[in-house]
Order: sequence, then structure tokens, then C-alpha cells
Amino acid sequence: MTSAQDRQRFAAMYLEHRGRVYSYAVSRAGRPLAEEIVSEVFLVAWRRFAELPDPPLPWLLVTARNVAASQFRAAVREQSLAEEMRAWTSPAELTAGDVADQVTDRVTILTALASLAEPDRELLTLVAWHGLPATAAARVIGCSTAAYFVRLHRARRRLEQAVAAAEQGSGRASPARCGAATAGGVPERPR
Amino acid sequence: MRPPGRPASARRGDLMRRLTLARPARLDAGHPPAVRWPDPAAFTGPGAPGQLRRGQPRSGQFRQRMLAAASSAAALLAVIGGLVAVGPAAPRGGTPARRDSHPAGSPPHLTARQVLIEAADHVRPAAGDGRYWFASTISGLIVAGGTRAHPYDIVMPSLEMLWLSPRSGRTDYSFGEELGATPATPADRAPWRAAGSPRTWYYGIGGVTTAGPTQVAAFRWTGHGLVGYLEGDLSYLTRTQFLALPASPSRLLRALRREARQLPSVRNPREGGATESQVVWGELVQLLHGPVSWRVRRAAWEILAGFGGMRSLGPMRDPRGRAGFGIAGGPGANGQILVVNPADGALLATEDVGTPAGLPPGPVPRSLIYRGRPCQGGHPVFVTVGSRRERRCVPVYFHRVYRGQVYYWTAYLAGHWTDSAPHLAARPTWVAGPGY
Repeated sequence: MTSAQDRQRFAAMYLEHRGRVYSYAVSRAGRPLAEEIVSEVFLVAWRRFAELPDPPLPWLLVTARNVAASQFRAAVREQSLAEEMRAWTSPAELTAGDVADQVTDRVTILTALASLAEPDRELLTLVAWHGLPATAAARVIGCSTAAYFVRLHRARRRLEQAVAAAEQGSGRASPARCGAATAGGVPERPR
Repeated sequence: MRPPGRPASARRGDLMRRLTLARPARLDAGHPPAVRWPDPAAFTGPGAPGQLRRGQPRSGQFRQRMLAAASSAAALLAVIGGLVAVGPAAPRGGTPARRDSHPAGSPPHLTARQVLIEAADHVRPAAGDGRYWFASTISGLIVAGGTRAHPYDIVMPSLEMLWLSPRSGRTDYSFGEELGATPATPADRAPWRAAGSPRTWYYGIGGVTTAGPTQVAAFRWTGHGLVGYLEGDLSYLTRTQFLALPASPSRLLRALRREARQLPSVRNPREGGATESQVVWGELVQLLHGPVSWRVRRAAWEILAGFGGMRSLGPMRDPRGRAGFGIAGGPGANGQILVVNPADGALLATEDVGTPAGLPPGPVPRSLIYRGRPCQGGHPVFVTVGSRRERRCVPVYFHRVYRGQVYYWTAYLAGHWTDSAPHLAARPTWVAGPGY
């Protein structure tokens, strides 16, 4: 387990995947907690290096999911995540000259996403933001691929409805308007 | 901006695309304030937190301990880094394309999928007719140019321009120029000077190159209406054949796979050479700068966006200094990096990157292996021939790559239809420059 070759393989695996684990951790718990989660994930990964599946990314994300849930009290994590989602639609983030702004109304999408329940958000972002294929995303969620597709379909419909509601409520909001409009906070869906 | 005829609401899956494009930059570790990663040795080195037994309590100052462990394990990391950077010579950069924090007009943080989808969405209709398909590229081969005492790399860039008529029996033209070798990177200049600033280098088997423009070659010949190819020399195609390629990503991918399966190496993987996914990758790269319709080019980007394992290298410049994004990984990429400009859907350049094992990934093509006793001018490698391991030679430049080194690149300067023909000699000719 502690041979130089193992350490070399672990280093390569760490360098390849740490960014994606970090992104996932941010989307689950916010930036303030993400680094801690990533460190914990790779500590666990080294301890269980011999058991890691190939590819290891779904396993790493499952571990990040578990660490986020177990390492921090729910209230702390939810507060951190709420602040994170507010930051996504802050004026500073939306005026970064992003090409993406030319083709989509990020604020509408992000506001609609934030209004969904956490399981829906995770289903959608595993594919759209973290680039996982369906089989890997299903492993992270802990369900079959078929069940994953069903849940994803439902989550997409709910996102469509939320986007339509956001667009109807405020028209196609410009980033500047939405930045100001969301300064008070992204609404959290009651659980 | 979407291409004409593709209203946002008309496309299935558009919502997921919008969601993909809305990905916050804050998810990326490079977003300020950038994450300061612990070294890998912080998890694995002696005394690192990773060595704690399961259940053993940790202090509350977890991050500080991680950073301290990283410092104490620096020596170990250096060893690991040295192991990773295996190669005949110490790596000194060697990457012509440079990472760039802010290419003009482009976002600083996009995932590979975002870059590729953006590129697909920004492919623009272009003139689909003309007397010639005009293609212009500059390619650079990076080889070992130094001595044992002063190792360094040189790059041998060459310009190629083609005018290919879509009509059989018409004249085609080509123009090529060796632009002259130079030290490959700024880091290579010091050992080059220490070695006496040579202007002639010998490489591989009988190869010789000099600094400064050396060779110019101009040809004209009677063509057969072939305006490009899909992969290697497998399949030269006419304009009609290119235009007949399907514009649906799924149908195009099926067609490319069918084409790939014509290759002997794909049908007989044990022979070595390109696999099906590698051939398909090569075909897609050809389509991205070949004489295809803009719809096919868009489909090619979309196919790449759908591949698993693609990763963004962030903003970078191609070997000609043009701003884009680096995309790596994916099935069949074989270590190749694409430098993409998502703002206009252009493939700027491809770069082939070395691997830690010294040889490029994949089996050594048999055509590059030859017997030599002794292995003069070549590099000895052990390869499996049938059921035996044998000592064979490969050209030095083929072996002389190290992790992260770009050992070959191609910058795509132009690819469009034109009515202008070059002014070349009336008969097929060589125009030789000094030293040729």
C-alpha cells in the first residue's frame, strides 16, 4: 500500500480528480466548506486506495457526498450552500464578461435551480455541471441507471416549470436587474 | 448566439444546455481566491494525516496540519515528481502553447463541455463553393537537438498551403516551406547557447535541419477532384462526398465509425496502430478544418462535447499566439490537445503531448520499428513481437518525449473555398532554397 508506485499512482489520481471533486463539493456545501471536504475525501481515498474502483470519480463523489453530510451539521452546511447560491447570482459573478451570458439567461436558470429541492439539484448538476455520464451519476446517487433516468426526467420537468415561472414573473431578466433583484437572497424551497 | 434556424425553444434538451452554460465559475478551483491545493504527499507521506488510523481523532486545525504535512513531505514529492517526469532528458517546458489567464473576449472559466458546446453554437455558415479548397497550416516537430552535456529541444516548423480543385482534370497546387529550426522554447535557448549556438542539427535516422528558412517546394499537378481526406491516407474524398456527410451528430458518428473500421489496424488490433476510437478522433479533427458544410462542423463539435473524459485546460494560446481554450482527454485523443476558439467555432491547433513512459501512448507502429545492430542513430526499446520480447530501435525523435512535452503541433491558419489560384511555375517543379 505504501510503495513508491502506489504513492505515484495516488498522486496522479489526486491531480486528475481533485478539481472535479472540489466542484462537486462547492455545489453540495459551498466554497467555505469545499476544501475541507476535498481533503477529507482524498484522505479516505488513500486509506482505501487498494479498493478504489476504476474509474474512481464516482466513488470520490459519493465519498464527498457522505463527508459533506457527516462532517458538518446540517444547519451549517445549508447556510453555507445558501450563501454559495446567492453568490452565483451576485452582480460580481454576473459581470465577468462570460460568453455564456450571450446565449442564456444565467440568472433565470440559477434562480430556478436554487428553488428546487436538493435531490433535484444534484440530479441535474451531476450531468450538466460535473459532466458525469448517466451510469456514473446513478452510482453517485445510489440508484439504478433506469431509476436515475426517471428521476432526472422528473427533475427536468420541475426545472422547466421553475424556469417558466421565473420568466413569467420577471420577463427575461437582464443580469444587472437580476443581480439587484436577488441581492436579498435566493429563495430556498421549503422542505 | 445560435446559428440560424435553431431557435432555442425548438431544440430538445435545450434546458440542459442552458443549465450547462449557466454553470457558475465559482465551482472551479481556479476561481479567485484560487484553492491552494495540498501536495499529494500530504496524504501519503510519513506523518501525514492520511497515515492516521481509522477513527483516530484529528485536531480542529485540519487545514493547517495538511499544509504543514505538505511542507514536510516536499522532498518526497520531489521524488514522486521526478518519477512522473521520466524521460531521457530533464523536462524544461517544451510546450509551445501557453496557458493564458484572459484571452480577449473569452470567459476565464469554462468546462470542456461548455467550450465545445459554445464552439458548436458559434460555427457560422461559410461559402460552400469556389474553384479551389484552400488549406494552410504550419506544423512543428519538436526533437532533441542538444548534446548529452547540454540537452535541449528544437522545433522544426514548416508551412504548407494547398489549392485543391473539386473538378477532376483541373490543376491542383501545393506550396511548402521549411521555416528553419530554432530552440523550442525560451528555456531551451540557454543550453543551446552553452552548446555553442549551433545552426545545424542531426536527428533521428539521417535527419538534418538548419536554422533559418531552408527549403521551399512548389508543385502543380492534374488533380482528380479530391479536396481532402478523413483520416490518414485512408480515404480521399471529393467535395460531393464531403457534402454528403450527415449533419446529425449521431448519424455522423456512425458514419465515422464505419469509415474507421475499414482500417486494417482497427480490424486487427493486435497488429498495433490506431484503434477505432483513435481513428474516429482523427476523423473529427479532420472535419473541424476540412471542406465540410458548417452543419457537419457543428455536429463534429457536438460529438466531441458528448464524449466522456474531456477536460478543459483553461485559456491558452496556440503555437501562433492565438487565444483559445485547451481541451484534452476523451476517447481516442491519444494525448492530443485541441486549442479551440469557442467564439467562432474554430479549431486553432492540435498539439501532441508526450507521456511519462517516453513513448506516445498506444502500441508502437510497426512501421517505426526497425532492426539495428548496434542501434545507431536510433533509440533502443524492448517490444513484444509475437510472444517474444525483442530489442528493437525506434527513431530518436519518436522516443524523445517526456511527460507534458508537446512533441508535434499543427496550427490551422486557413481552410475555405476560394476562386484565387496561386502564381506558380507552369510545370511541376521544385523551387529549392539554400541548403537544398
